[in-house]
Amino acid sequence: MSEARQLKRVLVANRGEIAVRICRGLRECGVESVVVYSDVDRDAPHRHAGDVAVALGGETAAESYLRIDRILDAAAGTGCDGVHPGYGFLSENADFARAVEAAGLAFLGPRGDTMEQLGGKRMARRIAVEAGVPVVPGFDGDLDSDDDWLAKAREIGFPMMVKASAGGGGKGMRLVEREADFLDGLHAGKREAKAAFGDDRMLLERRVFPARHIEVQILGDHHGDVVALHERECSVQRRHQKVLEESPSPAVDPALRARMCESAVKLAKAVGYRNAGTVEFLLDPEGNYYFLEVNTRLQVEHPVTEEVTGLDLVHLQLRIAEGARLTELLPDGVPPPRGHAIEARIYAEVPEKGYLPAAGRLSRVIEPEGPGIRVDSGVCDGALVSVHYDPMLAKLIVHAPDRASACRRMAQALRDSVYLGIPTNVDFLRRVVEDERFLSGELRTDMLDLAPELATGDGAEPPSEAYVAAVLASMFEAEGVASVGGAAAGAAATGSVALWTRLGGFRLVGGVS
Amino acid sequence: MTVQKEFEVAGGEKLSVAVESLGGERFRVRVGETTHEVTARRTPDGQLAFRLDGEPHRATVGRSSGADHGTMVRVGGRTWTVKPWRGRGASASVGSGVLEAPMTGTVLAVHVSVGDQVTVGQTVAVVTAMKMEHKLQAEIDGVVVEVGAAVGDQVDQGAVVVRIEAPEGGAE
Repeated sequence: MSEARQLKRVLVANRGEIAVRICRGLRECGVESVVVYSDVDRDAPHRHAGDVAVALGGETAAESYLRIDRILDAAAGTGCDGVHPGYGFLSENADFARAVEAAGLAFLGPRGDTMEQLGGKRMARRIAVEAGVPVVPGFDGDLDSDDDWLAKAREIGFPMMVKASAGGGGKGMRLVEREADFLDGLHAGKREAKAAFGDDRMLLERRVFPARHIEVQILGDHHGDVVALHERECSVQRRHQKVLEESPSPAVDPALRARMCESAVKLAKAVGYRNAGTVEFLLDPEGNYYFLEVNTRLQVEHPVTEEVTGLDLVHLQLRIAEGARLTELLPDGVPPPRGHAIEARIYAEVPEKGYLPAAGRLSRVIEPEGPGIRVDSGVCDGALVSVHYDPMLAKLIVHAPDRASACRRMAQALRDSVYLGIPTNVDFLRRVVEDERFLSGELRTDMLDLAPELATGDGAEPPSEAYVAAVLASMFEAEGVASVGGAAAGAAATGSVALWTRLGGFRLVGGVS
Repeated sequence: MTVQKEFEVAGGEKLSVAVESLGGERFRVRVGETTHEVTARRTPDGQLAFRLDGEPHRATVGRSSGADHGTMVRVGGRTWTVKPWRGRGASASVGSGVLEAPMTGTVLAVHVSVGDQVTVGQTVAVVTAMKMEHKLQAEIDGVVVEVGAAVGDQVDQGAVVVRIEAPEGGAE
């Protein structure tokens, strides 16, 4: 590590579970962390996760976590020598990455130029073709008239995916089943892309169907070396957003794994990729895979890779940013995958009503623990889930010797997960991981669309014990308040309820980011 | 000590549940017309451990932050929301003519005006939030009698966007 510099203090430009998780990783490496927070997040767990906290002000993402100027000021004002962007927010913003480096700080991610090359789906697709990586048949050019678009769409054939070139993480893409719906879909897609990304260039791709979503974790150092840390399967999706992720994929054998990893490394080397990234592919039933996009950041689902490799990706991101070589960091190469890991994303949402996002205050949170159970959480008792940000509360990750036991462990851990106060998808996730279609390992990206009953549930009425528990809780609360001796215990046990009562008049105002 | 609560159950019916403390961990519980002997205690982490009709249960109870003023109960590895009784007919019936914003967001489109005829399934407005578009679709056939929001308006969850009335003699 001759040219290496040791980082001492890193600003975490994010919120929620990933900010908490990055702070923990930094601390383990002896690096101090600086967190930033919006007005809405002044009591959020991540605000307390770092060694120093800096207020950004504001409520919406645009007023807070997307404010490059304020984040750079915070880094300068607290003497940081590095910035970790997390995922979402500014993590794939090339201007931010460049501004961080221009300020003399290390950016724990790829170069801004790399983000621009790969962040646009259209250019990424061209780079993949150049590097000899298979891509989905489609069109990545510009057209002026509706007629030309329609003609091109007919050429590619339906059903088709209409994607925002600037989109990612499932945002800004839609399925168009029939020619009659194409122009509506194209225009709605452009409108959403303009609003979300300020860029309405589109990409048309034939729908690979049925498909599995397989992605390869990559790490590149600052010396041109790139390694692949195997695959993750993220086929269980709703609204094109991942819900359950696992590693290894039940569909990938060692030979396919080697080929996909080689493709991912070739693509990454073609752009001199640095730090952590993910190369996403679609896999068809014949075992053909097609390049989808590169996510130039640490992914939400990175923990399943950590569980099966035993590596800590945040530690590695830090050391890579310090200038370490992969050959030093992984002297024995990449460990083969060990056992099976599954991640479930816990969202504040209503699966029964089309996965509508929910917001409000969590009155009670109890997260599971035990052998092979990891919870990367961004919430606690009394935490406020704001309409301004992504409604993911936590990630539940299990690791077990094989897939069947990982599924059982996940189902039980979900049963033991308590998030009360607002609707969540916990029971929906449990229905999925107990469903034969998931257990079989025969996953496909549309499996939730094919099984709407998993989202709606059985619609059962609460059983007697639910009513009895509600009244017993009131009884204990009343007793706790009434009896002098029990007052302390009562207050402790119902602390969150008391907090909620105190904050009962709290109300959210303002717009949606 | 006795605590009694009334809940709204299926079909808008009322369910009365009373818990009487018999000392120690023993309680007499009346659910509607039936009475049960129950043992119950609170665990150190604030959960409830109780035995009802011989069946052991572990439950966690928390207030719902929704507008329903309900209580959320996690029991049997599943979350239930139990709602307080607010009087007969307090809840909206299925197939309401009132279309509310499903969540706080921005009105992207309003496709109808007061006086328009609409049919079931017709998209009357679109609300966007979290970068997703949600269509509000008529649940009944009828006439638009109110449009509560315009394109570009910020609407709170539950705000009435469009109100539809069924024609004379209709169900609503």
